[in-house]
Amino acid sequence: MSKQRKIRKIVLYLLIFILSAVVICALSNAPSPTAEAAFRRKEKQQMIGPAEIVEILDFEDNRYDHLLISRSEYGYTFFEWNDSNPDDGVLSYQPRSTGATLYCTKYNYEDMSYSQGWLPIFAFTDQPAVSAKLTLTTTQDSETITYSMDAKRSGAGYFLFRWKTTGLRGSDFWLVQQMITGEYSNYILEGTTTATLELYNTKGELVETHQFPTTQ
Amino acid sequence: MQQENFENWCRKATEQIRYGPDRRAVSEELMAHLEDHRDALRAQGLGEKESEQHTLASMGSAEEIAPQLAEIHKPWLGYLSSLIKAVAILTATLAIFFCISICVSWLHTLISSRNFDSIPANNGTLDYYCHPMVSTWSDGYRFQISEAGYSKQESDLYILLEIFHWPWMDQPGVSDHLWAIDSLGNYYPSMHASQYSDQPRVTAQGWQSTTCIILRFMCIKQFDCDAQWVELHYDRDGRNIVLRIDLTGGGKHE
Repeated sequence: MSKQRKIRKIVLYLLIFILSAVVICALSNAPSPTAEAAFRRKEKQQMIGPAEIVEILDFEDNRYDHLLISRSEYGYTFFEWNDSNPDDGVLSYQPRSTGATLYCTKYNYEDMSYSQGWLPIFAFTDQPAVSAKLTLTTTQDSETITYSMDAKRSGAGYFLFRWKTTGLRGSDFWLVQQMITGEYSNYILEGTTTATLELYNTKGELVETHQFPTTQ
Repeated sequence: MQQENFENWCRKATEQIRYGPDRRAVSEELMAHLEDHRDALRAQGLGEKESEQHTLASMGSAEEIAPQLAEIHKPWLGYLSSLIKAVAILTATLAIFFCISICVSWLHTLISSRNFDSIPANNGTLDYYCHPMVSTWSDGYRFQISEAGYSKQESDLYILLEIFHWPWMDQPGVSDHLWAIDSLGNYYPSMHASQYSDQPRVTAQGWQSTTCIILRFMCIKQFDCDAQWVELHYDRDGRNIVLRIDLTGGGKHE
C-alpha cells in the first residue's frame, strides 16, 4: 500500500470518527466545552436570548465562582456557574423596566452570611449617570427600616450595590429579593418592600429617580 | 516447484517488513514481477527451469533485499491507520446505536397513548373535553395542545401540552412562565409570577418525557368555565407564543 493511499485512508477514518463523535455528543447531552457554551445552551433551553455578553465577574467566596451578565433588547440575563461544572450553572432573566432595571441573584441567606456577607444588587440604565444611590425600604408589622448604599458606574455600564446582609431583620432579605426578581418564594412573606434608585451626573447633580416595584 | 521457489524468495525478501498488510502487498507485487520476468524469458525460447533460475538470479539475494524493503516500508503509518480505523468503526457503531435507540424511543412515544389519565390531580371525569390540536413553533421547539378539558366541580382547566424537539436539544424550561387569558378577559398569571396557590394561575401538574417529546400537563386554576376560548402565552425576551384553545366544541369525557 503506498504512503499516499495510507494517508488518504487515515483522513477518511478521521472524518468518520469526528462525525460519529459529534453525533454521539449531540445525542447524549455531553458537557459543554466552555462556560459560554453552557450559557448559550441554557439560554436556548429557557427560550431567551441570544443576548450580548456584557461582563463576567468573579465571586470567589460565593456559592458560584462566576457571574456572566448579558443584555438583549428586552432584558438582562445572568448566568452563575462553578468552574467544576458550568452545565450546572443557574440562568436568571430580568426583563427591562422603563428607565432602569434592578436585579439581584437568588442566594440563600445562609450562603450570604457565611461567605461574603453582602448581596449583589445590579442596576442597569441607559442614562449617562456616573453614580447612583439605592434605598431599600422594608415594612413589617408597621415598622419601617431603610437601607442605603452607593455605587459608581462600572466600565460595562451598570451599578453594583453591595447590600450588607449581616444582622438583617427577619424576612427583609427575602422581601427585597422577591421585590427585585419578581419571583415569589415558596412560603408567604408578610411585609412590603420598595426601592428608590437615584442617578447622579458627573457634577453630583440628581438626574433621575426611579421607584421599584414599577407596577404593583 | 517453480511457484514454490518464487514464493520462498518473496517471503524471505519481505519478512522484515513489520506491518502485515504492507508485507502482503509487497510480496504480491514482487511475485507478479517475477512471473512477468519469467514469462518474458520463456517467450525468448528459454526452458522452464532456466527461465526460473535466470529470473531469481536477476533479482539478487532475498536476504540482501529484505533490510532495504523494511527500510522503505516503515510500519508506523500502517499501525496508525489500523488504530484510527478501529476507533472510527467503534465510534460509528456507537453513533448508529444511539440513533436507533432514539428512533425506537420516539416511535414508542408516538404509538403509546397519552391522555388525561396521567394527570395526577384529575380523577378521570371531565365535564368538558376537546381536542384543540393547535400548534406553533419557536426556537426549534414545536408546541402543541392536543387535549383540554375541565371539571366544573374543581373549576380547573386541564391542558395537555406536547413539546417536540430535536434529539440534540435540551428539554425546554418554559412551563413556569406560561400565562393565560380567556375570552371574558380573566387573567391567569404564570407560576413564576404568582404567589398564592389558591388564586387563579397557570400551573404544571406533571410531565412525561422521552428523547424528543415532552408532555406537560398544565392546569389553569380557578378557570371561568363560561369562557369560549382561552389563550396560553409565552412572551419572555421578545417571544410571542400564543396557543388559543377553542372551548365551544367538544363534549363530556368519562
